[in-house]
Amino acid sequence: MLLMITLFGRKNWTDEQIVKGILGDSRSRNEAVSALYEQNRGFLSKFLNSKGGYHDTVLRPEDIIWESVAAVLNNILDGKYQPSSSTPLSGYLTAICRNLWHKYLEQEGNRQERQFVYIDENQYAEPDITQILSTKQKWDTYLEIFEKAGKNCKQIFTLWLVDGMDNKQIAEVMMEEGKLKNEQVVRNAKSDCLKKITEMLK
Amino acid sequence: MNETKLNIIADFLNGKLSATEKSEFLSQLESDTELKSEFEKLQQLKAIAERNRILEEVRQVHGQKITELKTPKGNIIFWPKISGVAAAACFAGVIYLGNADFDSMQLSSIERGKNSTLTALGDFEKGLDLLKKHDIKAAITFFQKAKNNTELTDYYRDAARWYEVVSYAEMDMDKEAKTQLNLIENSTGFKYKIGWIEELKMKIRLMF
Repeated sequence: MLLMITLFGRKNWTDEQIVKGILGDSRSRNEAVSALYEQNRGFLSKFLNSKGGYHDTVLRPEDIIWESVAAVLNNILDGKYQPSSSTPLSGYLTAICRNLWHKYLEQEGNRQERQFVYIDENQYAEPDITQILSTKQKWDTYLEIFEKAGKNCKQIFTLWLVDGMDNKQIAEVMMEEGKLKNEQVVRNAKSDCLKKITEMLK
Repeated sequence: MNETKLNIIADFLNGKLSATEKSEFLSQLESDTELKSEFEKLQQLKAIAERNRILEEVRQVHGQKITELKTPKGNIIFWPKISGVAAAACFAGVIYLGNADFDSMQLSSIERGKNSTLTALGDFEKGLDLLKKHDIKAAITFFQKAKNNTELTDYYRDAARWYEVVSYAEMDMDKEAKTQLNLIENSTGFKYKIGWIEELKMKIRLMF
């Protein structure tokens, strides 16, 4: 079995397996996400190619795919998606891709194109993605704020709150990368970053 | 809030407090509103930092997958997979050859030669017949008789030597089979033509 998996790759992941993988460790998450792309290879290839002609748009089809995958991921990680046969994961992914693409074109003012794509693709019944889009919006806002805090603040918070490092360990990492000079600077930066981000999160 | 308290909150969130420290912290959390407020902030910040890291990691997978999707599938030559399949095919081949039956000799009047008597040939044919019927022990006796019978041409005597090796292999008497095969390989002017597949099958059989 192991030989078969090594040689031919793991095929036909179920939604349950993908969800379990995403909720697991880093390695299993990456494998599950990879499987999600494989499961939807046909649609994603078509999406990339059919939307590839929109050279004058700021966002490219791959950016829309990323936003959709991130939206699905955020919902799964928040425990808001439960696999069921009536709402397969691929159905959600494709529906979000289309929805985001239409919204984006609408924002761009390209209504004629939007209508054309909509008519072409709306022949299938799609799942309700209101919940997914609402979760997406929440995380988009949080992550935007986190981004605005700056690279050093992001790194300090990650090392401190995700990796559980103390000031000394954070200083070692950041000094090695030439970002901060000593432990005291880390302490001050941590305090400043915390003030800054708390203000933004209010 | 002072840094020590913030670090205690972080340690709690990271599961680094001992059982006593944890219970002490939880009781403080119930009574201290300022602590509770800071706890909620750090809890949220931790969740955001974690999500940010996850998405950064997954974005790399996204990048790889998009590159794959943009590359026409027919042009992708995935050598590890190809070599893996080739290795599997070789492995299957070795298994097949190692377990495959050996071909029986088809006698023809030309091969019988002029100076082979029917009695002498009879021993050899009897041996082949017994081999086919899986009465291998008896077959070996007849092949041994045939190979030492000077009334037979070298062709049949050598053929009897080969089928003696085959019989030993069939009986899992690898040591005897190897000895006889070595003798065949080292003998000059061996007349019976052993097919290369037959020889390969035998070598693979004797390897395991």
